[in-house]
Amino acid sequence: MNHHHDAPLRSANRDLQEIEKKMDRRRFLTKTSLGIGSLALGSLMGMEKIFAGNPIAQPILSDSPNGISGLPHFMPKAKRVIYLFQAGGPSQLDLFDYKPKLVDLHGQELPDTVRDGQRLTGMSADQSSFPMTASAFKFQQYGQSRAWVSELMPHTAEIADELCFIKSMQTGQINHDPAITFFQTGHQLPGRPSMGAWLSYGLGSDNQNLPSFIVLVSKDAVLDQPLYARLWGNGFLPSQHQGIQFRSGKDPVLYLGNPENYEGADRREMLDYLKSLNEVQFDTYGDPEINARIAQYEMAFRMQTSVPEVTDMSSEPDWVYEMYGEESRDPGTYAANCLMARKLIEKDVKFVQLYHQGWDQHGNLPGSIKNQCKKTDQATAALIKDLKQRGLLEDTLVVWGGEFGRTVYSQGTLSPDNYGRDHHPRCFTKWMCGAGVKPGFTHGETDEFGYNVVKDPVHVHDLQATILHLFGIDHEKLTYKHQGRRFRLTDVEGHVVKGILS
Amino acid sequence: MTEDLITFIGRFHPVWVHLPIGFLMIGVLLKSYVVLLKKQNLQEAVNFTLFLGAVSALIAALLGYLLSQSGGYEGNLLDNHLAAGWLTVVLSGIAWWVNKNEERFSGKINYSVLGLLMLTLFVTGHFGGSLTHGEDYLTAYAPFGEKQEESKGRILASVEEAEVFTDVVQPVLKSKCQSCHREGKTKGELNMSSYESLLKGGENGPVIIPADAEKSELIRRVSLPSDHDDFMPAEGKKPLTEEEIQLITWWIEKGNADPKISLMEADVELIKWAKPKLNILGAEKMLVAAIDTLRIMELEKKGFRVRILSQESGALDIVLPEEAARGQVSELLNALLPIKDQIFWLSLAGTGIQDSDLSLISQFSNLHRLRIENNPITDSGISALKNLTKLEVLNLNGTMISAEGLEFLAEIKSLKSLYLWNTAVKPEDKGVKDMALAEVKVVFGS
Repeated sequence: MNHHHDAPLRSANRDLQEIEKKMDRRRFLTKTSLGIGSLALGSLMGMEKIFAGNPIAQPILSDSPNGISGLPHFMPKAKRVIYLFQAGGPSQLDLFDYKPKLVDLHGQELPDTVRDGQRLTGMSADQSSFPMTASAFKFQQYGQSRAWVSELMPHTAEIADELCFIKSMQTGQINHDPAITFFQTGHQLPGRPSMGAWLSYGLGSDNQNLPSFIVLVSKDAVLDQPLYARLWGNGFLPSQHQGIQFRSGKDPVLYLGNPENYEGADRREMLDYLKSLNEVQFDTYGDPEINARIAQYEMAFRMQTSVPEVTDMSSEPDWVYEMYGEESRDPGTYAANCLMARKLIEKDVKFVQLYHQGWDQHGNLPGSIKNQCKKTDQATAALIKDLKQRGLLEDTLVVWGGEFGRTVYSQGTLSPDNYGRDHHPRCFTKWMCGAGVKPGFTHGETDEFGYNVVKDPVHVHDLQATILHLFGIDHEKLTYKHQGRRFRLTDVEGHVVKGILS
Repeated sequence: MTEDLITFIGRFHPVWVHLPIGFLMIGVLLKSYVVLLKKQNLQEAVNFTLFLGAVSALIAALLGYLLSQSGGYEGNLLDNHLAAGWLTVVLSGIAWWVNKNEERFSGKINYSVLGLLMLTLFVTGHFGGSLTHGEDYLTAYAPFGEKQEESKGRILASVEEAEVFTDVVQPVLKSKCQSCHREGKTKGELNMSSYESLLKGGENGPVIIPADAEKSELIRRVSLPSDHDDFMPAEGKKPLTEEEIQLITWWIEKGNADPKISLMEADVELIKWAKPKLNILGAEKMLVAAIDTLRIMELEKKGFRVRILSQESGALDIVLPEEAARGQVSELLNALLPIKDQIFWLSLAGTGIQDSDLSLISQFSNLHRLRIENNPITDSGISALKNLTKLEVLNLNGTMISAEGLEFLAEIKSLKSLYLWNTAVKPEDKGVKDMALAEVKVVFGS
């Protein structure tokens, strides 16, 4: 490790040469004061190379745009994805999963044979009565596909023929955070990489000037359940694959702008020198995070130009704002984020993740779901229409849905014009649209109570396997070795849902 | 009882052989030390190690002989190993004798004997290694020579052609059983390398009874709990998978152990499992030759974004971003000509391409998706596209195409989606209706 300055590190810049000399002294002090300690540390680092992260066996990807070699495994259908995550658990019974029989059963107790001893959340477990509750909203069939959509989603109803509904989604998680974490990372406990990070790691970037995984969180949502940045984290993957959040307001990406009174004239020179320093460090320790750091500095540098360009909305004509809804003029709203998602997709960003909170309607469901839909329905449908007319739905996949569904029985007292619904992991509805999925199609079925899946259940891991499949990835083969074992997004499960592939 | 004892003692051969190898090599090394550095005082040590070498070689050879008697090994390889082994014993004896009386022999004789001894030692060791590990053990991963893909068998035109025995069972037996049961190493007198020898069985009789999987020794052995004495593959080698056992059971039971029976006769699940293991031409094979990374990097330097659509197909997705075109799009497109067959998806949206550029693009005969929206392209340019016989998606949004241009596009029978937003074409134009009749999805703005 004492070859530090044998490396080609001779700057022509006098100031930098000074720093090099100072580093010699520092290095000397480190060596002498730590002595055997640093030796031991060195061997520990060596051990880590052999056993833990195994950075040598992993492809080193500091700046490789094409992902890891061998991928895609087969011809992909999708090139990009927009994931419209509706956090909180939208009520499938009030939106898409039409159960006419509930009108007759309204107010009656949910039969025990249907619930079949399922554990309930702490929020409704001590209820003495579980009255089945029909939706307060009217349903109608739309399009050639005759899909049922409730009156809450008039705009989505218009595009029903583009959508592929999965009515038989299932998850193992009953609380928000584990359930969202499960959907995004394939495991209910935090720490695994999220789907966007896996895709970025596996397939690389199609636009070197923007991150391949960008996250947009609605500012106009009811903030009932929190979201955490780890939901778009890289887990154990190299950290350049984490999702980058774009915010509303003056600074879409934090700390990207130059500090006051600095024009950035010698930024390139600074970064080149910093890169050579980091490379020396990498040669010594082999820690892949050093390469990640290099990649991130370079990306940030390019983003100083590319982000202001892509977030500039001035070139969008008025009819676009009319299409997405007037709120789309206000950056950071769901509608504006949908429009931003389209712009990012046009720039070939691989994974755009939207989050809209506020679907957790334990009580007062009819009133609050109406507001939720008002804020999201038009923009969601506009995004689909806009992608379609631009030809982008050919290779862009759109996914809509939450982390679980809601119960058929009312949480709290059922009154003539009000009810609530608790978390329900046994069945819920998601829809997908675009690249590689059947348009105007419904997969899976629930029973007449809307409580259990009776046909073609689709588990969270199945959905993840299917999304990877659309990108040409065999979900069993995209793995990363960490702490001595190989991990994958779908853990040890997941089957591609062949029925929905076009 | 004596047979067991012979086997027991014989099995010390593989561990013992390392002794003479070590002694003899040390002896020769010592000798070179003596000769080259003139350390005559160490000649005694040379004699001593060579003596140990000769004695241990004799013991190794005797043990080896016992092991060969215990069965399971036969053929040329064994004979060669045996002969070379005895030669090593004799040569090491001579080497010791020559060195002990070195004043009586010339240096030349002495060195020749030692050289010959080393050569024989290596040859013996190599034969022995091939016996235990298989003949291609050493060379299978060598950087030189052709690599054999183990899992895939003969090339088939389609799955219908596959025979259960030749294309599925045989490869399983090869990878899981034949390291011990093959020509030259017939443990339990069982040779599984051909259908005939497999059916003949081993020392305990046949291992396969057609139409009776339950009575077939092979199925019984591989299905036992892995800690059972009779379990196969023995000695902790990789066991057969559930599907492999199922398939062989099916083949014996329903397939009557017929060597020619088609895979299509088997259960759907088994076919599904076996199919990816077959070496079928077509679908998963290369569609076009892969281009090398250097060429990709050259294109990227010019401003193209190059994406490999799938590693197996060699197909590429190429995007020229608006900002990279810089009014030079015609020159840039020329750079794509050397890889024209590899381009499956191409996007030149907003790059400023004109009619004249389309004749060049029409040479990209494998194009499946073409995005040329927002460019000053007219009907006359569009006519060139009719040569693209594989084109499925065509984006002409914001071009100057009119209803007339549609006539050329009608000739592309592969077309599935056509984008005509912001063009002079109207949904009620006759050409659009014809497209719809031909099941082409035509998209205008909404």
